[in-house]
Amino acid sequence: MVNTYSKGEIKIGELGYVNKNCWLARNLNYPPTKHCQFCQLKFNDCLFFKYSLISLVLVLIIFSIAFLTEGSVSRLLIISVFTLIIVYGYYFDKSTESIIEANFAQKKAKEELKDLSENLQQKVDEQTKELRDAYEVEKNARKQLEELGNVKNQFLMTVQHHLRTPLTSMRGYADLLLGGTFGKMSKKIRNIVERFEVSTVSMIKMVNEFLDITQFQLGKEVVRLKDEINLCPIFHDIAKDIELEVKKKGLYLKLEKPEGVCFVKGDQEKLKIALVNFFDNAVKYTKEGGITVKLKINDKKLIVQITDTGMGIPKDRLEKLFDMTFERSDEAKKSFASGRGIGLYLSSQVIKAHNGRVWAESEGEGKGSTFNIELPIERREEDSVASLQFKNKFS
Amino acid sequence: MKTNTPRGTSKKILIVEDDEDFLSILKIKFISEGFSIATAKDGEEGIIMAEKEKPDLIMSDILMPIMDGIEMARKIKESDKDAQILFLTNIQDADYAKRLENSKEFDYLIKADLRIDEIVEKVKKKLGVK
Repeated sequence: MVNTYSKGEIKIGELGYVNKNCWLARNLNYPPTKHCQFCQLKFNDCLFFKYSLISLVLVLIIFSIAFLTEGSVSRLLIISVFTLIIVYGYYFDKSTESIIEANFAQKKAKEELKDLSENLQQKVDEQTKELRDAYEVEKNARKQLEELGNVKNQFLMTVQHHLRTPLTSMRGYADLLLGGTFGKMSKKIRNIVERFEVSTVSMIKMVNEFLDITQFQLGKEVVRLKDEINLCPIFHDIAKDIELEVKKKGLYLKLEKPEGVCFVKGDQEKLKIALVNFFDNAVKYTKEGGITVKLKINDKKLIVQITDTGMGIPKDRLEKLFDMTFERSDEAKKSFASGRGIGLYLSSQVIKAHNGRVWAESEGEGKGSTFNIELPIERREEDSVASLQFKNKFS
Repeated sequence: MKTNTPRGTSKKILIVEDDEDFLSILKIKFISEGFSIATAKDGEEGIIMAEKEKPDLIMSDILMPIMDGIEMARKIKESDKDAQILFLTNIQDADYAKRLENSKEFDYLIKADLRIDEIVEKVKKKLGVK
């Protein structure tokens, strides 16, 4: 049975050369081919075809001679058979030669293929090893970098803890002096001690901020969602804190209140610090006009919108505004030189830890900006007492 | 290990603090507020003083040499279930805070976040002193 037969294929298989014989192939209804499968030549050049024609001509010549010379038929038949045997013997000899050649070529091709495949496997193995080695190096480097980062953060945390100890004492002594524990002070000395206390408190605040950032980076739970916070008193406190600065700069501060009071689940201290940052920035970077704060309730979310008429934010900086780059724009540096550039990062981290989100909008430089803070509402109170309390706090 | 008995004492506080400056500040302030004060510089001294003085409130730091505040507080609670302990620490570490919150036995205040007056106020509130 012939299982395969394709154009140009040399196959020394079950049917041997018969399979390759174009004449037999044609007669056995193999798929048509313009070439002899055995000798790889066109039919006109095919050896079998040629030898068959030669034999036929020779036999015809022998028989013609027999008729012309009236020779014995049996003798002529014997001569014809011998002629045929010689011609086909020659043909089969040629065929065998071709088969051996084909076999040899196939064997050679197989060996080359084997070599190639072995080489390829070796190359693949080498490259895989190189890749694995590179991956290991990269993995180790990343691990070392991570460890180094953790050591750095742990070191920073220790430094910050130790910095707070003397700072607390400095503040404590200033408190005692100002509280009159050591007797009355002259106005001049009192003024100096007050300034000393303000500087100490600002230093403590700074250390606290750095400590929080380090803890965020270490993946520690900086914010604990433990309190049910009424945001109204917080806004009241913030408004009171920035009132002096707002008035000093001749700005306005408007607040648009929602109906009722809403409570947020969170960390009162941290949330206040985060919100104060947004208000502080609005005042810091606004020279004319003022600040409008809108509180919107959308479904189960509270959106605090702080809009200022200040220096605005270039569009390309809007997205990176909350990244940990500690970068400040040149304009920001011009208007407020001593900023540290960590406030927005820290505030956004605190809001995120409250399951909220922060985003900024601005039409560009000099066109003011709006900071949006979205926080999930834990509970709402619609009653008039709560509402009244809210209005009183802000009016 | 010292005890001061000032004018018109009503309540006694044991302050356990290894930082001499802060210990001195607290001592001066609370004495001026009319409290009776005992002091200790580490956890071990704290246990001895707590037993000896039977204070109304133990105000303790957490990170201290020899024995830390948490271990000291546990040991004091073992012998006196009703002992009132307030941690006054600068460890603003969420893990510590969580452990303290979960135990529910101890209150804690962050030193650096409060003025001395505020600390006094919180202590008075805890002890029910006006």
